Amino acid sequence: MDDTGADLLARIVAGDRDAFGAFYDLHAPVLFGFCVRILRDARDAEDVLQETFVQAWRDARRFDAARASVRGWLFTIARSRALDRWRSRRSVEKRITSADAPDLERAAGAAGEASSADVRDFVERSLAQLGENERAVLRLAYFEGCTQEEIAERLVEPLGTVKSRTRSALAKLRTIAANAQKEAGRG
Amino acid sequence: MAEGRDRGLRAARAAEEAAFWAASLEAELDARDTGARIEPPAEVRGRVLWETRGAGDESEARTAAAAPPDRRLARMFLALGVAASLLLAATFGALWVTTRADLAATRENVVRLERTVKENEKQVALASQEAAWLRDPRVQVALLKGLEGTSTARAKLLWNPVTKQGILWASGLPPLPLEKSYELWAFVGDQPVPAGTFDSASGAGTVIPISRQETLDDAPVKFAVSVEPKGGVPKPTGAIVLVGERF
Repeated sequence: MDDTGADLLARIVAGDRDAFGAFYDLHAPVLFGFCVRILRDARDAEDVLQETFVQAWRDARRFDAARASVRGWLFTIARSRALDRWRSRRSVEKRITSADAPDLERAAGAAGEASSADVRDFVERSLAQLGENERAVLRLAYFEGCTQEEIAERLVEPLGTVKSRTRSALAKLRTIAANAQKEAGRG
Repeated sequence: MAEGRDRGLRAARAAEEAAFWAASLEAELDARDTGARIEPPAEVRGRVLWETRGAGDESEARTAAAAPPDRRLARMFLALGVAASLLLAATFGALWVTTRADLAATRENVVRLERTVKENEKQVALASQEAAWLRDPRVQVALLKGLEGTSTARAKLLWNPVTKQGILWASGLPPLPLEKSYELWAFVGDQPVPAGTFDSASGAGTVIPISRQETLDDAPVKFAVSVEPKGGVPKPTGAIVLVGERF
C-alpha cells in the first residue's frame, strides 16, 4: 500500500505544524489537479482543497492505515467535499435559471430535487445492469465508501484488477446515467 | 401529470448526481495512477495554515491533557524553567518573535479579507450592471432550453437590439475539449447570424457578456447555441445544444 506521507501524518496527530506544512506541500498539487478536473472551476477547486486539508488536520487521529493509504484517505475527503460543492453549485444554478420563468421554476423547483434516497435507489437499479464482478466493486465503493485498497482486500483481488473493474463499471454507470437523463428530458 | 413530471425530474437529478460521483471516482483513479499535478495558488496554503492554527492549539492541549500526571508535572517544571530562562535571557527577543509571528498571521488574514472584499465588489458591480439591463425597456429576454443530450442545460439571454449587445446566463452545459467553443446564434428570419462565442458554462449560472454584433441589423427573434470549432464559424456546423425565442 502506498504510504506516502504516513510519517508526516503521525507527526500531525501530535500537533506538529511543520509536518502539516510539509504534508500540504506533498499532496496539495495532486489533489488540486483532481479538484480542478472534476469541478472545472479554479476557485471552487481552491476552496475544496482548503476544506480537505482543514478536515485532514482535524481528523488526522481517525486515519486508519489498515483501511486506506494516506493519499486514498485524502482523496476520499476531497471527493466528499467536492460533491458537497457540486450540490451547492447546482442549487444556485437552479435558482438563477428559474428566476422570472415560471415554467422553468417548476422544472427546477424543490419538487424536482433528488434526495439522497433517490440517488441511492438510482445507483442500486443501475448496479443490477452490471456484471457480478463490476457490481461488487461499485457496491463497496458507493454504499460502503471503501477505498480501492480496501476493496482489493475485501474481495481478495489484486489492486490492479480492482482498479480496472472499477473503471469499467464506472464507464457503464455513466452511460446508464446519461441515458436516464436523456429519457427524463424526453418525458 | 405534474407528479409524474416531478418524479421524472428527480430521476434525472439522481442520475446527474450518480454521474458526478462516477466521474469523481474515475478522476481519482487517474490522478493516483498518473500523479498529474497542478500547483495551487500559494495563498491557499496560507489560508489552510491560518484556519488550522486554532485547531492545532486545541490538539496540543489535548495531547498534553492526555499525558500521565508525572509526565505532565515534569513538563510543567520544564516549561516553567524554559520560560524563565527565556524571560531572563531574551525578553525582548521573544517579544519580537511573537510580534513578528502575529504580524505575519495578520498579514495573511488581511490578504484573505482583501480578496473577499474585491470579490464582493466585483459581484456587486456585476449585479448592478445586470439590474441596469433588466430595467432598460429596450432590452428583450429570451429563454433557451437544452435539447437532447443537454436536457438539463438552461440559459437566459438579455438582448439589446439598439446597442446590439447581450448578456447570457448559461448553466448545465458540459465542458468542451480545448479545440471547441460554444457559439451563440441570433436568427433574423431563418438566417442564423453569429453572435459571439464562449468556452464553458458548467458552473452555477455562468455569465457571458456578448460584445457588440455589428452585423446584426434587424432585431433577432430566435436564438440558439451550438458547439463549433474554437473561436467560432460564420455558419453553424455543429450540434445545437440550446434553443429559444425572445418574449
